[in-house]
Amino acid sequence: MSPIVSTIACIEKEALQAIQESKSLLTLEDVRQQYFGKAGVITTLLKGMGTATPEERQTQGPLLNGLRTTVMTALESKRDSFEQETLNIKLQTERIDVTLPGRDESEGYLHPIPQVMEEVMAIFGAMGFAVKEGPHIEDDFHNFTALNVPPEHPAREAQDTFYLNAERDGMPLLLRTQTSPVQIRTLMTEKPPIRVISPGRVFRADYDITHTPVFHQVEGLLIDKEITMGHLKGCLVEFLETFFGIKDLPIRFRPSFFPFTEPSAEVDIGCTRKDGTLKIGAGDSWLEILGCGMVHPKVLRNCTIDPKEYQGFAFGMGIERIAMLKYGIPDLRTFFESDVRWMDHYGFKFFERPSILNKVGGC
Amino acid sequence: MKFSFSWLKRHFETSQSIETIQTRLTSLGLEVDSIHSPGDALKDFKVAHIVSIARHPDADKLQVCQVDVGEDALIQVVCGAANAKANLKVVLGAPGTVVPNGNFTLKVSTIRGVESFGMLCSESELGLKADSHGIMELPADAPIGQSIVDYLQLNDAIIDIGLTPNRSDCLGIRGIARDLTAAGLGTLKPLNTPSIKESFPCPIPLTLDFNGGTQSACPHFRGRLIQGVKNGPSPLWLQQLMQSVGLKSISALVDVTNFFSQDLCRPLHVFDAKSIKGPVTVRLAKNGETLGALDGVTYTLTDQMTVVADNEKILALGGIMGSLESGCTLETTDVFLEAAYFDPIRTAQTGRKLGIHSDARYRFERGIDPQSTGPGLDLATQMILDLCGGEASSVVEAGKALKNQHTIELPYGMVKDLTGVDLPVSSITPILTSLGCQILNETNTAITVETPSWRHDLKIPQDLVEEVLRLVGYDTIPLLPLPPINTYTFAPLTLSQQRIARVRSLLANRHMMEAITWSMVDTKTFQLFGGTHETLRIVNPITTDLEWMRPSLLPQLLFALKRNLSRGITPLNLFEVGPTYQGIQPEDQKSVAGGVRVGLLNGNHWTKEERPYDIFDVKQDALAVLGMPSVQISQTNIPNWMHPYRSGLLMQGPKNILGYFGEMHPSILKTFGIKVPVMAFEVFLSSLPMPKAKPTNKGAVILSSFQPVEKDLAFIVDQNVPSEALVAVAKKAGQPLLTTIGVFDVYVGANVTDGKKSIAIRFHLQPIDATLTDGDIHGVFNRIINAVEKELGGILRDGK
Repeated sequence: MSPIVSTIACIEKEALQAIQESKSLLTLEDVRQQYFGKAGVITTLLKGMGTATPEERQTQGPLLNGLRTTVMTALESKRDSFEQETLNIKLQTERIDVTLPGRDESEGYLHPIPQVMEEVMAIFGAMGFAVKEGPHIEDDFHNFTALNVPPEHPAREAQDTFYLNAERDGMPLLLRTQTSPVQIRTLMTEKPPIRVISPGRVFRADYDITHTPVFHQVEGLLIDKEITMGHLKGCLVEFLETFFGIKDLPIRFRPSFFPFTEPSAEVDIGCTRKDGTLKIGAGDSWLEILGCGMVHPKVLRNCTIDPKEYQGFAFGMGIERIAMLKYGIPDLRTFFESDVRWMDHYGFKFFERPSILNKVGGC
Repeated sequence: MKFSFSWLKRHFETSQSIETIQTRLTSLGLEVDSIHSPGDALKDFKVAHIVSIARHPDADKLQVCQVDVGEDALIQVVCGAANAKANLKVVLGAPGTVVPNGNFTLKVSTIRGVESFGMLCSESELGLKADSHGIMELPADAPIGQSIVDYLQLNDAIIDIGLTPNRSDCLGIRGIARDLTAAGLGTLKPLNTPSIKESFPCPIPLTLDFNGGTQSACPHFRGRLIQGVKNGPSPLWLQQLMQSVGLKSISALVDVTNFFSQDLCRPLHVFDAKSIKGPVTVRLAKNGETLGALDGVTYTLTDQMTVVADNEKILALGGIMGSLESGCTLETTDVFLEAAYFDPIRTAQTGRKLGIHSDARYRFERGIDPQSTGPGLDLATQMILDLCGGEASSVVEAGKALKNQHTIELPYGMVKDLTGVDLPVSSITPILTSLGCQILNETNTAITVETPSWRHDLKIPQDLVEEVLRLVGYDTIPLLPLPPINTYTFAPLTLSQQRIARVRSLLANRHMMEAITWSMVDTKTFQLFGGTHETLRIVNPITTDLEWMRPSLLPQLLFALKRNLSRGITPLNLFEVGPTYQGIQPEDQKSVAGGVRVGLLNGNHWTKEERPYDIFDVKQDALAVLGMPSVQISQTNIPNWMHPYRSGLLMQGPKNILGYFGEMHPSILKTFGIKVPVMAFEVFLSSLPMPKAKPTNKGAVILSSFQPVEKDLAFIVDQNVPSEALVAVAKKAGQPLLTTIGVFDVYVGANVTDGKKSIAIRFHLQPIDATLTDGDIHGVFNRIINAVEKELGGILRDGK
């Protein structure tokens, strides 16, 4: 071994040892100065190459470069580990209790009535029903007469219907008692085929544990050429199963009476009643959920639609009622009290709005 | 409509179980609301015999009875009833039995040192009567040890059905039997009208005195005098029938009329004939005439009400209630029996106007069988003769029975066309005949029938389709899919409906709670919130709190705030998207989004970043709801219920008011009893420009790769210069490099002259195709500074 070779090996050994033994970035810097500073050991050796003969350069050059690389790499690696250690210590001092509440903790909620109305709209919307709305202040014709409710019918009495201190075209104005006037308005302005639902506010002069002066209904109407009660049944069964999210929900149609439909039916869904609680689904009991039927020919004629050419079905249900059943809300009146504790419990987050992409059945 | 199974069986022969009948009734449209048997609770009570009785050694009022219930040994029972005596047949409840009245379980007990093994029961304890004196006494021949349910025949099922208003035929039990027969559950027993032995001509003349088209009030009236009757309690079977349907047994004569009302839906009336002076006239009342009715109330009548009268007085309100004076008592010996037909509408209106409810009114107003006057009168006459004796007169009759039958042609195809149920033609005819329809004509394609007089509700072929469907069962309706729709043109919601849905989400996302409140307010609130139209008053409100259609969403939200505040809940952020009413026309109903905020934002947060809600929260609510790029804010014409200097109107152009925001006027809050500031907004969604369907192509966007320059400047301007104006001037002057601009500080105080304020603004300039030079930047800011000075008199603040 030539002397220079053993010198290089010796320098490398000493340098690596000094690096290894450094206790801090400061001492490491001293080591770096010792070898790579202006008069450093390795700097000096490298400088010496400038005056070396080509032979020396050829033999010693690679050795010196190897020395420089090895020592430099060891220095950097040591420095990295010191920096990592320092950072780790700094991070520890930055510890925060992450269990503290995040900012913006107050929450907004959507009310169950519009929520359920949107659920209903989403389901019937997927079946091709368009949403129609109409005025709450209505007249006798749209709310009663056109719907085949005769003038002497008890529903027209002031004990059921709110009347306003106003007339239109000689007819007393009233607050609509059902959303059916929207159907009349649609039938009078559109040509069949008609496929609409009309959700909205309705009013009745009644206030007790099961009645509020304002409540909400949704009604549906489908008028076309060859629509039967079979279509009505198919449509409502699909709706009820989807809305309650119960496959094969027992559903029963039974005869009933409404002035605006013939034949008429009421629809019951299966349930169980046990220890004062009601559970929707297959069970030993039935619960009335909605009324429906084939639109009475008089109603069509009142809207200048020829019942010989067109027929169809109509249905209606109470929004609060289906909301109470689906979400287990026991008292109708609480819907209108705006009690924020109630809203905390029964309200919905803004991202829970139903859409065709979210399954609304909640199963 | 309540009836007992055994009463039903008077008309109906069946081998079907009560469960089968119950199910079928509901599927026939006679929905069973409840079914119960009063005997269920009494099956363990037995007929017992008091063999011997002795005074209790330690209690004056108690006796010790040795009782035989047919077991090997006698049973000892301590009893306090005064009527307990030896050899009496009584009712024993043994230990372990539950006493219905009070719902407690009997136990072996020791009463003042004497053991007692059960209880001798009273009728009230058994739930058989509301009140009773002493223990129940049974007839001497009651078999010892028999259950009282069997002995007293309490095992009858009581069925309560909810009838739809069209089915008045089922307000008589025979009508229900008729439907069940048509449904194939049994056979209808014949109703044999007796032939009455008429012993003398009826001495009471009868006239229907109507004119001017009011004849329909009472088109038909029949009556008969029965002399020499002996009124008294009804026989047990009739009493039990009355009791079973919840009617009070009054006397034989009255019970007979109630019986036929329930049995055949044939209301009748009995007058004490001795109280009738002169001929009987059926007419409209004169205004102001009065009737002292059987219910003890005196009613004042109008000329729209039908009455039965004699020469001196009104005997009855036709089809509703008789007078007390002409009513039958136990002393009645001569009775005038009425079977008539009164007009449903007039009966309903009279009853409603006077507030009288009676079984007769209930039936007449729904429409009874007008042809039942004949058999009804004879059947009731016979029953009176059977129960009370006496002799019947001939019949006096005025008018004639309405036909009440319709001829309807039903094309067979309509059954399937309407219901989807494919029935063989051969099954349609028997269904209609089984319901009492007479076949007038049958062809290959249609059947023509005449409907029975008791089914006034059958008028059009669709009614017959429902009858057919009812009898084959609604379960047979197939499940059919709806015809497909054209999904290209179809959208369930209009764009404005979609906007309402989005606004709700948006406000909930802004941490507000959605409320749904009444559409009405009280008078004072109506006026406070700018309501003026008298037409928006409800003439028959249920409470004065809800008398006017609301002109704004805010008052009901304030009431809601107050309710929550009174429970100590704060902060509160409520909104509603709902209607307000500016007038009675359809377009006067506005869709509005409104909200209120109260209390501290982050008031409970550990960061202590709390602050009260202020107008800029609700301003942002309103702007977010609007979602429009250019909205002007005006500080004139602020609504009266808002703070005049802390509120703004949101305008589109000079005229279109889109909404407003701000702090509520303290005097308004005072009237609502709210002691904390309330921030509020309303956005009139109906006034927003109609959302338009936008093209889906948004065009290209140029994203500069050069760094933007940020610079802050502060300007001193007059206090009354709106910051918005400053921003607008600066924005205009900074074009085209100026991209964003924001007010980050407003300062009034030291170093700023009185009447002035300093507004600090942060500007971002975005170079487009080259890095900006100092010259470029100075150029832009000099333009801005000059424009602010020129247009607003503002100067650049020193040191910035």
